[in-house]
Amino acid sequence: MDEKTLTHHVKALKKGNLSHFDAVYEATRVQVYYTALLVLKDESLAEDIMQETYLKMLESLPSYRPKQKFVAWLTTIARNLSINAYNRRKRELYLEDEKVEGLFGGQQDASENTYYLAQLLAVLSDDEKHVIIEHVVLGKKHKDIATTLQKPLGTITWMYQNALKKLRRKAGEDDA
Amino acid sequence: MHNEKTIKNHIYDAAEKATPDVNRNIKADPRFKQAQKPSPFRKSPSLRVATTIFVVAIAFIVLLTNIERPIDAYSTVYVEINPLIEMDFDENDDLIAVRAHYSGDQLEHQMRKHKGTTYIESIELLIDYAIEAELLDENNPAILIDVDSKDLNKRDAMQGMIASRVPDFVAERVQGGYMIRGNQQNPSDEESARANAMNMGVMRYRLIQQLVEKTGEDAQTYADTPVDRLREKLEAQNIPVNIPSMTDRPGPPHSNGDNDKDDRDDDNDDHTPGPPDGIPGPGGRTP
Repeated sequence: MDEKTLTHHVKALKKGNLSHFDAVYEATRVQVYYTALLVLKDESLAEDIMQETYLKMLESLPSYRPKQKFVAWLTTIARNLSINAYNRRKRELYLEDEKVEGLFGGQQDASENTYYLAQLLAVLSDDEKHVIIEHVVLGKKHKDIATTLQKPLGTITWMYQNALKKLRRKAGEDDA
Repeated sequence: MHNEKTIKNHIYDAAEKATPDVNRNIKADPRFKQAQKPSPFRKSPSLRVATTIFVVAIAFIVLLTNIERPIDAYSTVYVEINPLIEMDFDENDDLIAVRAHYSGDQLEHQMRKHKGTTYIESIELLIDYAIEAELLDENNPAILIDVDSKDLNKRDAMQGMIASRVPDFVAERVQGGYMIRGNQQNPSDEESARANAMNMGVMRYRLIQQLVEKTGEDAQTYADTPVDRLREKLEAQNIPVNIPSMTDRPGPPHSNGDNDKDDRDDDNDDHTPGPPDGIPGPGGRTP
């Protein structure tokens, strides 16, 4: 969905017309889910946060200013909720003496689709998966990813190119 | 062949498929239904217009009450400390406006805080600020002051009061500090323009002019000369300088043929009272 159409739906939603919710949800759900997943590294928790993000968005929509990019505003909500959940979980896990798994790493009951994505990215290190998801799925620029991961821009670019090489190689092997 | 675009599309498609659908759960949440209810604080368009008009009206009123309306000055005190500071006073002798010329912005800013003070208090405050700004010190101890007023009696009274208070005040604060009576009265356009061209006030320009007329030097030579040095040079040329003394305390000022520069300046005879009797040289001032 292009920016203009999304803005139209968001404006209508802001006026209280909930029939536009589906359009907004469809246009943004991937970004919201992966924003949460990158922080939490737990699919079921990310799913909960995804739900919470949209409810929070509806609650906060009157304060949203159209000058700000809606997707950026929404993913900020998702990220903040995820960080809160992550901190809560970290405290719980600390008490239970457990270990947080990596991205797509710890789900016993992962869905078929998640399993496929996990397999697709299996050749990558956790950091490379992070960079690929941020760039390809969330559409973030390398510069912004470098800021999020607190790594030099050159490192991010190198990681991305390295990840692409690995994925190309894997795709070639799969074809063969 | 797997190019970057193909791989990216492949990953995005897989990520999209792996994204769970929570739409039903969201809609089942009671908070979703609440979002449909209009907020009790949501304004109707007419209420919004009314609020805007109200805010604009308040802003306008605040703006109007804060605008400084020009008040007619009843008297003006000119203080030359290089810069020149002009202070306007109303009929009750309260400070109503301050203007600085020739880079006196800081002093102007400081003095604006003291609107409502009397002319003596204002001059004393200005002297303190000038000392703070190192415009007045032992190397630069002279202050040149003149007064103008709509009421000539008032002007004489102010001049008398200034002559009785300010010299002591300066002398107490600045080593060798003293006051010279300036002559700011009725400058011609040409005189004002020349003073302005030399980046100075009329009072200072007139001192320099007296010196230049005697020595034949170029006025520009003295453009940066402090008032104290000008006084020395004037005295060296036997040109009297109008310095108030102990004999010059309140009471009607009167003329002295030797010292009255106004006697040499026919234009000013009608407006400027002559200096008092027996004005001593700088040696007579309070050290």
